[in-house]
Amino acid sequence: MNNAAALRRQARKLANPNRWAKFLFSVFRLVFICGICFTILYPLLTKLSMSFMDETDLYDRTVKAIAKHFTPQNYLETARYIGYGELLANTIGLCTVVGLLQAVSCTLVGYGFARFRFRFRGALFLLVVLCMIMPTQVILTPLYLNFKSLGMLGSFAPFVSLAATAVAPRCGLYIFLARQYFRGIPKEVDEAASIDGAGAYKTFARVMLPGALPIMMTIFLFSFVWQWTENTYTPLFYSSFNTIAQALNNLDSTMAEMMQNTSAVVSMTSRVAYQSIIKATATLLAIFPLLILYVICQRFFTESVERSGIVG
Amino acid sequence: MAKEKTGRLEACRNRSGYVFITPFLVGFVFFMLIPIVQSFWFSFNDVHIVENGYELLARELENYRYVVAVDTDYRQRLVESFVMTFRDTLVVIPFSFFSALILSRRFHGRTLARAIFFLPVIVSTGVLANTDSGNAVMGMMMGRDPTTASGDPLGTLSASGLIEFLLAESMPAELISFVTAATDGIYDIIIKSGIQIIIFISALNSISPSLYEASNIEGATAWENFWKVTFPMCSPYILLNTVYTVIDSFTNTSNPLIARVRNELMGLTNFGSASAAAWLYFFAIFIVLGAVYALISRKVFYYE
Repeated sequence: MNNAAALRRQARKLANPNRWAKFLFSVFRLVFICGICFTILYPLLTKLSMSFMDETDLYDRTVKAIAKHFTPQNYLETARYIGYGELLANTIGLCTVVGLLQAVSCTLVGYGFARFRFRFRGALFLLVVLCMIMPTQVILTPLYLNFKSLGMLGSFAPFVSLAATAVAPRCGLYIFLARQYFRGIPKEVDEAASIDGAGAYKTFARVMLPGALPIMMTIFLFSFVWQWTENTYTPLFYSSFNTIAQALNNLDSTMAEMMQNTSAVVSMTSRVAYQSIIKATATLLAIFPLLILYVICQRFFTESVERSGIVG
Repeated sequence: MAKEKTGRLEACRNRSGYVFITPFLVGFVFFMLIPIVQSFWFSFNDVHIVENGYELLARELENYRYVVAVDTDYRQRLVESFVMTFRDTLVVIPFSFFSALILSRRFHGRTLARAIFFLPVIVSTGVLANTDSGNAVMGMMMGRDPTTASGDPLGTLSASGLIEFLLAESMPAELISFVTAATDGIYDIIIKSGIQIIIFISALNSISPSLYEASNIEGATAWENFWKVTFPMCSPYILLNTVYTVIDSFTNTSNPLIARVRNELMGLTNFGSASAAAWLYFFAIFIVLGAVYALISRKVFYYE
């Protein structure tokens, strides 16, 4: 009796087209998300599997993804070839300096645009937009020549001056982010601070800044990450400074040189395979710090943009 | 909106806004405005690098004439980069909107899915965007001809082999090549969509639930909800994302024209004609952006 009722209920459930639509949608969603995620992760995964392989594995047709001669040797060798320790120190140094400066300068500028109604504000903000859409290639040459004649090439000075004045590439985006964040704060906050006797600067330092730390963190992280992979300004302004991006850029020539020196050890035939392994490993070595940063600070990357960001 | 009267105290306070934006103003003048003027000036000159600076040799419109009339490579790359931008925008915007629609709903593992969708923004920029190659051997291992595998610029997931295998018997060759081109481009499209997806998700989250409640009471179906509520409410962000995508595609280092200008400038040769090339390109971008903006902003719905 009970059983029959349950069965009938079950049958009614199954006959409901809405349920089926929902079910089909979730299946479709699963397939879509898995497919896209796989496509994104695939190059990383192939590199990861390759980085643990021995040369002979690459020529072995029975080896697909899991190395037969599993070896961490590639990491040690690649790290030695490209001088990973020094690269890491250099890159982290440059990225931290640039990131901190941009976080501070873009927050200040964003605050100025968001909370004050001075004359020409709209027109001046258009300049920020202009910075965003201006291809850096247009100003690259004069920048180089000016820094050269000022004797600033070959030091951090060009990066520091660009970052501190919020005109480095993508700074327009960060100013935009900061401005959107500060626009979302009600006007009453200013009024309250002003009644308590705080001026414009004190209001910023004491009231606004503590709350703005997450958005500053977001700016810092984006700037850090994009500086990490940047390979237009760095080789031009400070060519002797070896960063990870530069090392990756020059990997082919570095390897060719290395091959010539060690041709006795590495035979001609294995060159292609060996180079691919080293290349994959070097790319992974460049990405790992970013991945770690991303995993730790994921909420600053996505949620901050989502919440405070463009929509406000 | 009534114009509010600003008192003297208020005006004084507002003036300190200039102090906050001073860094940007200084930077803009020294590292934007002056270089822009210089670069514009260079485009009418021949630039010679000398010991401590540079010398200019007036060429008038010669650089422009060279780029437009003599240099066939420039024209070809210009057309290529326009085609690329057009194609990218047409695919990236629907794709990212669709992804955002899916990712904005609640489901298990959503955080992980979002994290992975956003991953390319972190790891596929700058120099890393160009190092996905070098998988020739991997392709060889997977039973593919190494020569074609190395010709595949990204060396990433390539469905061509499979699709050719499946369709070769029954389909015309043009259709196959179209399908394989589209599937091979998927990786490209995905890595270009990271930021746009995030922007669309935030747009979707900002739509007030009361709008959906009201339309449900009126008896709207999910389909109608989408076209009458979701889509119009997101239209400002479609505009924003389109502009972003167009700029991104035009100024990306993978853009054929940017690659050329960049190589010339990095090689520190032909500053004059490279500047002329960059300026012509910039004007072209400006016109396209203006057209895109004018076209889309007429359809944009602002909810106030």
